Amino acid sequence: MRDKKNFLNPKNENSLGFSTSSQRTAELNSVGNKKEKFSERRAMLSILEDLEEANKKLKESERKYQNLADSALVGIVQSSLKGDILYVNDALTKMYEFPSKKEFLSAKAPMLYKNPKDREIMINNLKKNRKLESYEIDMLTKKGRTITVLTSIILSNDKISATIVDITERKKAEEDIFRLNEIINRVRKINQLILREKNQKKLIDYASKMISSKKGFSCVFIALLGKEENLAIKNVCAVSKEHFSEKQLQKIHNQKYIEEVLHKKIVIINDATMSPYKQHFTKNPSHCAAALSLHHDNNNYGVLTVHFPPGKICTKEEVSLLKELAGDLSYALFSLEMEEEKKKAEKEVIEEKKFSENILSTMSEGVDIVDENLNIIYMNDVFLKAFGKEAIGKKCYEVYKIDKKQCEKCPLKKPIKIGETKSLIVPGIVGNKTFEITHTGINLPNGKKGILEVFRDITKEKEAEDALKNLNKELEQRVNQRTIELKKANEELKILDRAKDEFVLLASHELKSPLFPITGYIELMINGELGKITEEQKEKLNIMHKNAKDLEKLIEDMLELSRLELKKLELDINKNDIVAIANQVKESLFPLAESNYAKISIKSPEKLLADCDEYMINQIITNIVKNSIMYRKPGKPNKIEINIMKTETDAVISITDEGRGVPKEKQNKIFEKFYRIKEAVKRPEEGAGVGLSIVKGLVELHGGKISFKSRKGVGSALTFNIPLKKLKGGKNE
Amino acid sequence: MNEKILIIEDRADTMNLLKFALEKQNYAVISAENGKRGLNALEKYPIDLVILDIMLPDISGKEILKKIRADKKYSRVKVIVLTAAKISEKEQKEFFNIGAQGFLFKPVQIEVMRNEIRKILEKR
Repeated sequence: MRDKKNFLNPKNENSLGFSTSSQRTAELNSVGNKKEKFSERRAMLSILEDLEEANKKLKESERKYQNLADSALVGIVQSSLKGDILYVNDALTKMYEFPSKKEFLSAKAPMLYKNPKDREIMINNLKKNRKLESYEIDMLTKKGRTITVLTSIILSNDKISATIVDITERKKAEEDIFRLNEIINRVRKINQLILREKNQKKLIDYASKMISSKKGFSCVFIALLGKEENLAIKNVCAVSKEHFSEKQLQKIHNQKYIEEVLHKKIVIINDATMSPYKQHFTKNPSHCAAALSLHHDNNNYGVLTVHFPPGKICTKEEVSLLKELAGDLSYALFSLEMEEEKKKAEKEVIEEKKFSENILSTMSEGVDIVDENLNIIYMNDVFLKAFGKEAIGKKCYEVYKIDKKQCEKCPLKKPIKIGETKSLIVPGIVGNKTFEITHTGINLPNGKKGILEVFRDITKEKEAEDALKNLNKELEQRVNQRTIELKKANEELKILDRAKDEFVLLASHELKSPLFPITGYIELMINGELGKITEEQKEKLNIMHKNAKDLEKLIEDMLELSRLELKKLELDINKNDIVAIANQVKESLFPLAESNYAKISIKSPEKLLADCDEYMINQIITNIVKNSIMYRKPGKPNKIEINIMKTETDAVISITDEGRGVPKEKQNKIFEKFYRIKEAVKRPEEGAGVGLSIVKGLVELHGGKISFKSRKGVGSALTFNIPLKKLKGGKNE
Repeated sequence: MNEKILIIEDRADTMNLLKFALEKQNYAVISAENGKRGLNALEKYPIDLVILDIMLPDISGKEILKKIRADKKYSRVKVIVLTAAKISEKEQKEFFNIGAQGFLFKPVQIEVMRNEIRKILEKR
């Protein structure tokens, strides 16, 4: 290394040795002019404004993090797929701003979403994946406020269970941090540019002054290259305008010229007319100059051109002097750059420190910054307290993870995307806790990339979630167990049903068998086959016979009813014409009607086909019409009308009479088993009161409904409907 | 020659009633109180018509009917099922399919029964 002071310090006490930065800065400052100072101030002012803004943001985010800690409660909700809310805890009620749990439970789950489609998407994903999933999603509170929540959600037994954490504030804080980072980066860049330009300019001015003061060197021209833009002339400085105007000099030191000099390192032009650089010096052919490249190591900084008075020949000593001068200047430029880098790094460290101390250490959560090689380069207070300073520089997984292995889904396995924020749930962190780690890709001060990680302990949430999962599992098991039990019970019930059915069959047999000898012998006696009988005997035998028949009817009704109750009555469903059935009934009841002064008429379309059991429909209409005949007003004619209508889906049959009618207070009892209004009981010619309850059962078996309207002394109307199409899976199957 | 009717019926009172009512009509009545005896009587006598109860102590009426129809030598024997049990129409059809000619429910009117028997025997 040559001695710089020797050459550079012949007159001036100020050295161009650039030994220390403070020395140099002092030197440089002394050369700066007022104009520069003004623009410098203006730049500083804008930086201050930016910093102030940054500071404001900082405070805001601090406050927000405080709020965040206060509101970090875990909401739990369970809902059905349809959206009915089945369970909700206090925290969630508060989070969604419902006045009470009860009110929350009456709400529908999709209403809670800012975009209700989100719920469908989540459900579809859950159905596909069948495992716990986490989402960040915008929701609406009862008061219509939008909140951002982090929800962990699982589908089990067609129920959706979810834990919900309000991350609205955290989200905002994260965004603020990111914005803050941007601002700081911008400020940093502006600062660097200003500093660089300023320092270079000062250095060049100083050097050119020095050289031109030397005897024989009339003009110094230094062209410096911009750092980023390859070979662009950034800083041109001319101190003597003896021979050339600045414009001319600028023209001479064009891109091509600089390229050539940089390539040849040194060019001496003793006679421009003879030189290959002739075209550069056309205005003054006798012009002489020396051009030297300014370079250090492999870095090119620019070109130094020294112009001589016309006709002067450059001596060997002068050439070596110039060479040394160019070397020193190159070294100075190199040191300046190094200094800049160092300063920049220092400044960044300070900024980084400030940045972290101010923002990150105030966070209630653990925060770190990890570089691309997984080394921890920063930790906030929370983490520093937990892991100690010695953790910095270590691999993150060695510090945090129990198994000391890199996380499976480590974001650093992929290239970092600046500004991209993602969350990861990582179990097995210190003390076997589960953390939710939110990581954001950031630019590190050294120009490299890294990730900012915010750690949130969700062990408790996880526990709650697991508890919920276990509860669901347990519930599922219980439901399954119960289903098995129910199935078994159902089987038993079926067996019991069959037994009951057999009992009914047997009962029917046992009850009716003794009747046969009674009615049979009475019939034979009435016929006189067992000997001559008197008229009176015959009359009494008739009564006996009639009562035996009543008994038979009673038994049949009872058995029918019990079969109905067991739902064992088999319907033989076919397409049948209801109008035809009604006509059959009318015909078969004609004798009974006539003897009771009743006239039956039918109002109907020509044909009305419906899926039904012909025999049962006959029974229904017969029973109703029989009732209408029997409940007549004593000694008065009775008009009975069967009205059959067709709607889109049903056959509607309405039977009206002009009978005695049923008192209002008793109307709702007529379908009850064995119920008959008092007057009717007195009448000896009637059957048991089970009739209408059987009718109701039969109508319902067909999938229809029956209703009754009546006015005492005016008449009654019974209306029922039979669906035209057989019900799939209905009672009639 | 009087037509021979076999009654398979376990209730004595019912049997006596039927016997009385049918003998009055000049039928020769043979009685059997269970399925086994019924089948024996069928073997022994040239029976024209069987009045068959369904619920019997040993063999069910349906089984007896099947046995009768399984043997070609009884192809001319007519069968009327007479029961007090509630038998669905579907099941009644089944009896007809196996080979019954009539189906009566107790307590049937004596005259109705007599007409049915006459009608069936006349068809031969």
